[in-house]
Amino acid sequence: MPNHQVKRGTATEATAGASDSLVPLLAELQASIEQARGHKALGLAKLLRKHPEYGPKHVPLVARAYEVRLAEMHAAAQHKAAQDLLQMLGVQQPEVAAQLSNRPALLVELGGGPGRLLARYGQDAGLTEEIDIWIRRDCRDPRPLAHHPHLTETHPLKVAATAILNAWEEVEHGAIAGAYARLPDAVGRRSPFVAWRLFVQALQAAYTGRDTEASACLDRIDADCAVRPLAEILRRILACEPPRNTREGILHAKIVAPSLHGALSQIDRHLAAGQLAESRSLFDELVRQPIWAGQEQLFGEIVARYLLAIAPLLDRMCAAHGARKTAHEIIQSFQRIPRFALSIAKFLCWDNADCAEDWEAAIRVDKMPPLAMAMIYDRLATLRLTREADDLDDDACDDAFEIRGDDRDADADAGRQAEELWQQSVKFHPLRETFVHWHAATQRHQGDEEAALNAWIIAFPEDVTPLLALTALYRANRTPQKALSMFKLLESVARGQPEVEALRPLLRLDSAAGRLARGMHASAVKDLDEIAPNAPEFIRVACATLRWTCALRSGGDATASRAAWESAGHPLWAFQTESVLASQWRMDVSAELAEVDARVATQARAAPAQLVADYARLAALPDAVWSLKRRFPCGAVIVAACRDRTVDSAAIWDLLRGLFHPSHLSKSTACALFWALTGNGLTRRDARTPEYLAYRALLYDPLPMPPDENPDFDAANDRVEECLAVAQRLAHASGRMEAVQAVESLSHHCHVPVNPKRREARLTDKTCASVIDREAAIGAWADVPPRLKETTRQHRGIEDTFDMFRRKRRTPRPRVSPPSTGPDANQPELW
Amino acid sequence: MLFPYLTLGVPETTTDEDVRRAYLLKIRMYPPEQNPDEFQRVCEAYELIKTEPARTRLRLFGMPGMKPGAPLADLVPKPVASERRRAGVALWIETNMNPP
Repeated sequence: MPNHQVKRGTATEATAGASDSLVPLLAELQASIEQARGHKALGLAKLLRKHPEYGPKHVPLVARAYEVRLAEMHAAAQHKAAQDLLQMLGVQQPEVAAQLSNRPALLVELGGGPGRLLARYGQDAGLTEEIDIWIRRDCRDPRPLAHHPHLTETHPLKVAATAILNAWEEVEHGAIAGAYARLPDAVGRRSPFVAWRLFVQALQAAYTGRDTEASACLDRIDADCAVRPLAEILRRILACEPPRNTREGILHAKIVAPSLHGALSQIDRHLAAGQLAESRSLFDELVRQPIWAGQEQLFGEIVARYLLAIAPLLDRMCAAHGARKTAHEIIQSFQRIPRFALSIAKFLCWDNADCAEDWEAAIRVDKMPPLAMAMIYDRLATLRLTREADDLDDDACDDAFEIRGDDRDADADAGRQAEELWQQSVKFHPLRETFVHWHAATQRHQGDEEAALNAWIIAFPEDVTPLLALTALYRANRTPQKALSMFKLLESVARGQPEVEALRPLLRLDSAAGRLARGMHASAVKDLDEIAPNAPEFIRVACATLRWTCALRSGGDATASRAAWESAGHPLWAFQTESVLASQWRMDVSAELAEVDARVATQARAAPAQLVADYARLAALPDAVWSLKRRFPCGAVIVAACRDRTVDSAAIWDLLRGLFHPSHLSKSTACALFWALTGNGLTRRDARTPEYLAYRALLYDPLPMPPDENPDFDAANDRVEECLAVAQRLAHASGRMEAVQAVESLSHHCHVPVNPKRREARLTDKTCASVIDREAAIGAWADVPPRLKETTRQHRGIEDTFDMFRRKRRTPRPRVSPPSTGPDANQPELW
Repeated sequence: MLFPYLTLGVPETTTDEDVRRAYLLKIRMYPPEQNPDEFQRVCEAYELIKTEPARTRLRLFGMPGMKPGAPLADLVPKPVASERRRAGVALWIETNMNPP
């Protein structure tokens, strides 16, 4: 049965039951007219005419039904049919035709029919306004007016409609010429076609990628304009929104080329809405597309991301077993790419973990190229060390110090295994990053640094980094010949580079010191003569010190060299030089040190600021032999100088930052220096106050505290927490990210269970100020109030300490590095 | 981050020279003072695939920053607006005669 018959039947049936009374029929007709449902209104009007009670009073209602139907036909571009209906109405029902307004006739004329109304456009104000309103609100197609056979070429409506169409055609053909340029003149702001003009301009901007301009034009189109639906479609295209119906979809597809981005966006939308089935359907369709040839990486990446994206949905929607099963089903369609099997296995079995088992399986299953094998072995080595660190952290939560010895053994084992993996890696394909990882790991785990650097140099002979590192290693190990041969290699690849040239005088110093230790005084002096007079200041002082020592040892006249040494100044640097002679070359320099010591003491009394400044510069010296890498002076003279208020703030900060290490906290002389530095720093109340307070908190930490200091455990804990809380508050208030990070980082070295964040919330400005005042007044353990110390020295056995630690402990213990680089904090033989 | 091969417009079987050529072409197209975001994307893409080890790393370990919940569409570039096709007057008007 044809559709229209069904509709008509339905209308008839709908009104048949009400045939006894006219009221329901009239009400339904009225409602249809108000809803602009012309087809239904006309059917009901015909029923009304056949009703026995139909009379003249119903004619206006029937006329309204015809008007609505005629308007509907014009809106659907059925101009000819509308014209025929109007003519038939005039013949068959003249009384109804007489009741019609101008509108039906006008619509016929606007649709191309002949008539007198359009001729009066511009002359009859009322009629003109009516036509303008119709064009603005109802004219969905300007073509009938532009091609109207009964309008002259100069008729304003025809001119405007033609201008719109011509400009639009130019836009659609991508060849803007005169018509588009003339559009603003042809269609002014008061023209009923102005909305069409704006739409054409928006379209041109959209086609050429000027989306902002297009949106601005679309915004100016009124909501009741006939072109508004098109404007909305265009707006959705610009916003990359999906089409809302089939017809719009056709237009959308015509303008926007199908893209991977669009398809993935659609999948994202489904995933965001929790529509797993819809997303899976789209995804299946997408992976079946013949677009992935040569794009295996992208395919793998997208599939992996999709699996990660659906994982939460699966978890939510299914039980764990069901989720895995569903994932298995989804993955069936991806198995045409063999390499992806690994990713799938990773996802299913190890929750996409990047773990060693995955890579070992990959090596066994897949035949990888050498480069890939090298990278996998590199990754395996890193994972080996990472896993060991994780295991140790887990263990550390369970036990305290008992496992420390085992920690080191396990750490060393992991380091050795990692080194073997790196050796495998470079056999397949040497990569710089592999050597960087390998070298860094040997430094951390006391591995075979020399082997790693030699392998690096063999693979990349022109790399300066391994040559510099190996030269430093040989110098530190007192193998000058090897160091010299490395330096020659360095010169061959990087002569003139600053770091290479800086090494030259240091090697001379090494050589002179070695010869001096062997009693070859003349040769040592020759080496020192080779050092350029414009060498850095520390080297000049060290050189003068060595000359003076040579003169003393050779038995000659040392007056000139002593005078030169004294005039060089910086007695602390001379002290460092003599200390290195003692520690590195095993020389007995007690006589020289006695003199140097006296000069240091003199300077400490006369110019403590200069002494601390020298110390700070020494702490910043980067060298394998002559720096403060292994020992640093911290005797009473130095500590007293560090407490002096005239010392420069920058020197205090540099010194504290350069020398502090958590492993030094158990050494009383080192702690004395840190008490002095933090106390002096806190008196400045400068931007570094949060950091000084954080360092101070660590000094109160009772667990690593030196044995001759006897803290009250609970009171010291409280002081640690308070200092950290104030430090955090000040750091946050300062807005310096550097301070926040420093305090956070230092708080991780704390051994006792504290919760500074909770305490920070209770702090007031007044409390913070009083804490700073209190701590600034403390420059040594002796200044600490007695209530923080145990009144009677109780011998606490190691087991008691562990028990107490276990009771108190709430947070994991940070890993403690082996005290390999700790200072010989108390150097009684030198002071 | 976008898939670097699509950003630079080179195939996955590319060479160092082709990547560099594509990179230079792109940064000429998108100067930093005019298109800072696009310039940034091109530079990031270049860093990811400029050498063979880097490309192998990408193949083995995937794109950096992959995490659950990251939109899939972030992986590929949006269609360029200036590449929109033209529908024609008739199709537009036909759609307007039967508005949604």
